[in-house]
Amino acid sequence: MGRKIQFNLDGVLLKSELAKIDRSKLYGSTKKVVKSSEGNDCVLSDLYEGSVILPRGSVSQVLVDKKGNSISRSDLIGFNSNSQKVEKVPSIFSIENKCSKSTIDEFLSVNVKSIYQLKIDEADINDWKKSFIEDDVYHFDFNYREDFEGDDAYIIFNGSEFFAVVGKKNDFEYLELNNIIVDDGEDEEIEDDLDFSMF
Amino acid sequence: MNSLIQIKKTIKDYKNLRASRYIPVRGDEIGTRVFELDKYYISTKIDGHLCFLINYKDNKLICNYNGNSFNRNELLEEFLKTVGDNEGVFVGEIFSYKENDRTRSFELKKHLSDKKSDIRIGVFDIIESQNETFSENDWIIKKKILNSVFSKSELIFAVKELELKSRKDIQNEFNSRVNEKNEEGLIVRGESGPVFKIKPTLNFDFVIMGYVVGYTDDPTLLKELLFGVNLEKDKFLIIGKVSSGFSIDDRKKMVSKFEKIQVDANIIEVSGSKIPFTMVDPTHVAEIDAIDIINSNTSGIISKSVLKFKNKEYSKEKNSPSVSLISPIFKGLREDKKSSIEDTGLNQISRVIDLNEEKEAAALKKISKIICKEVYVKEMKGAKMVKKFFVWETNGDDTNYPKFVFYQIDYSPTRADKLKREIKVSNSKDQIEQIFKQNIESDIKSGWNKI
Amino acid sequence: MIRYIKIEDSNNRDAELTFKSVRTGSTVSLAMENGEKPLSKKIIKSSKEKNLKSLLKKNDPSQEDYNNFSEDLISKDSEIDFELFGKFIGKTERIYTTESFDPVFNINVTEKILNPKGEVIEERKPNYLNSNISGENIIKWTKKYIPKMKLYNKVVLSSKYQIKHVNGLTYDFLYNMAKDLNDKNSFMMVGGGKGNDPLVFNDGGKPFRGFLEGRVKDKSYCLILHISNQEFKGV
Repeated sequence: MGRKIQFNLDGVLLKSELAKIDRSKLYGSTKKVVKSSEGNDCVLSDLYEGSVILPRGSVSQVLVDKKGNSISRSDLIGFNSNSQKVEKVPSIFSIENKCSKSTIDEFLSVNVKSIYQLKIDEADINDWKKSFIEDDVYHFDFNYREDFEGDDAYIIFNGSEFFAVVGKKNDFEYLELNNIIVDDGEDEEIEDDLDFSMF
Repeated sequence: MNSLIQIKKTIKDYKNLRASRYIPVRGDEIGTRVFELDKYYISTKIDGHLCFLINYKDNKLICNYNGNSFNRNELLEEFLKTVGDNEGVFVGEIFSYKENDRTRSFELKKHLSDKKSDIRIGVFDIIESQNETFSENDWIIKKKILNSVFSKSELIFAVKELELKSRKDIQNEFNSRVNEKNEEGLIVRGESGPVFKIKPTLNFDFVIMGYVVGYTDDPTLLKELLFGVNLEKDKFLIIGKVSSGFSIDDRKKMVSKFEKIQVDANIIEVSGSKIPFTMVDPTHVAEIDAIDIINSNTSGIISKSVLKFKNKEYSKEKNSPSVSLISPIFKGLREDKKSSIEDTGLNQISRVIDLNEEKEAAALKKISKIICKEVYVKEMKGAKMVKKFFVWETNGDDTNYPKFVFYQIDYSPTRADKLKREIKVSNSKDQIEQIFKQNIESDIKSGWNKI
Repeated sequence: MIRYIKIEDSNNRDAELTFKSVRTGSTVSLAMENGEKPLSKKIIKSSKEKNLKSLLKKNDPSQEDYNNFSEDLISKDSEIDFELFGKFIGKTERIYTTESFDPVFNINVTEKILNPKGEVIEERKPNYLNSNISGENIIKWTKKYIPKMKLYNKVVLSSKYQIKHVNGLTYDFLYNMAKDLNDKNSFMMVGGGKGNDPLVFNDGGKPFRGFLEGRVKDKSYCLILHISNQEFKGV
């Protein structure tokens, strides 16, 4: 049995578990198999200076100060863009998560990192449905573990299931005739598991 | 913006962000790649070095994007005389001037330290002026300021622009200035937006040094070529790789050609498909086009391998400053050329761009010295678990090594992940010894015996 | 590099535009108490030669081999390269090797298809898809308006690209498209090929369904291409 999370949806106290939805559990997945021409399984390693092969796990990332002395990650503090210290965002398991009504447009602006299905006890389902009568969308701050920055999470209902959609919302830039903006930079490669098979 | 640190950050950001946002367009792509706009402002591209003209109460200099002064006092005097009370940061191209001849950046390098040489600056942008900052789209305002501030000097002047109405006009101007008068290229600006850098396609002859197969996952088709230039008869500098421009027929034929001339190498050059290039006898020459060439990027100076070819084998000699080509395209094999200084030498690159200076090789590293070592053992069900803790002094150079390393081994022969390692580094002996003690305290509980 | 895309509108006219992914980065950065940002360095911790199987000189060591290795560790330090470990490194390159970390010069790539339970149901040659949004390809207006209220909780619109004009003509083109979608409060489903194909952004990439969303504010607009490869479905 998973841990229950407490939600406060505009004054209504509700709870549920969260089950992460892995796309592969819905549609399956593909796994790339790379073999040498002799039929041996291949792995990805790192190559340093053309001759030093470093198997995965051979390189460590460390933090140092400007004098080259070791810094532990647990000693670091969060600062916002105005160089002000920020408090840690508590884990969703340790607090009553305050959820406020949001808009569909804001929800649609989110770059999605992960999706959770809400596992709600049968006894509580109707209470949940009462809060989602008119295509309501609720926003809360999401942190699986306590950390300095949380993500944006939105609870939605599709008529049969409740989902928490986690990611980062965007402020879209409105363009006028006289802004011809040319962007540079690489887009991240979109990775996926299986040929799309909807509709 | 008053402190030198702030200024240096601003000019570095400018180089990394704005200067890299010029859209490269080949001369034959003007009609398709230059956006259709109502008005264009064009100027001849000056082939020099990016420079910043800084005028604040406590900071007056003309420097490169790293904040290093060009040390031309006559230019600094001229700048301060011209700019007067106008505080701010202006952006220009510093170049070696020769009457009736095009500018070339390698000539700037040669002439900069010769105080008698004629060095000038074409100013083309403003970062800040009289406490006002400007965006890329404020061209009309910036143009007005530049023209009024830098109108009187021949040494430091606002870059002249011609206003055109159509891409056809741009093409005509390109033909005249670049194709006929051999200028480096054109800069084309839209009124409220993009800046295009139009250059003729660069064309090179390079030695083919390696290949990989696997185009569209088909092992019979060539995927990529590795190429370089001759530094000496049997010494090569790697330049880059190319994967486009081949027909299917090219891909098939080249695989059978190169299969016959495979050679050994004690160094691996990796292709875009994460497999090493199969190295080949450096006999074939490829013609390669590119839209641009760079010798540094946001990570710093571009540096690649120098390989020696002896007894049918490549071996690595060192790393050396090199270049990267932007959008290289394979044009064909040059059967009429051979791997040589004359046909495929360093001149292929240096006629177009300077190579950065080679850094002094790091001195040979002295042997590390173990300062602390403790070994602990615990026996359980006939198996011995071992934990080892070390601190050593690396005796390496600052750039490549920390002064001290803490290292921990945790071995359990019956565990799934049998050999675990942990590492921390520091330049402080006190700190590293503290880390050593703390790790032993937290990891060595009852049942462990010190050896 | 600047990325171009050709999109068609409801009148089957198309235009070449630019596009860029929309992504908000971190708003919080980590630093020391005094505000100094730490430097992140990569260091070498192990190597091919000091890998356990290399030290045991066996591809398939027995439990006895592992047990005996404890004695080696006690008496020697052969598991550590004191000259290499701790060295700072910059960029490395990814390379395919065998499981004993020898470089591989020719590879055969296949793919295993797994069902939702993780069971292998097929092994085949990878299905290589070419990009259908670049070059001369035109993204088609399918005429399938889907109200936002109907789509938002049905499919996961995971990533977004903003489509941008390049001159006055394309400003009008995109503004009108955005206004149409804004006024109808709907998405437009877009497709590759003849209009029904999912979008493949890069050669060798995966397919996604595309949905255009338009928003306007006076004379300004934003046109967003949302992409999706998943429904809101429980397990």
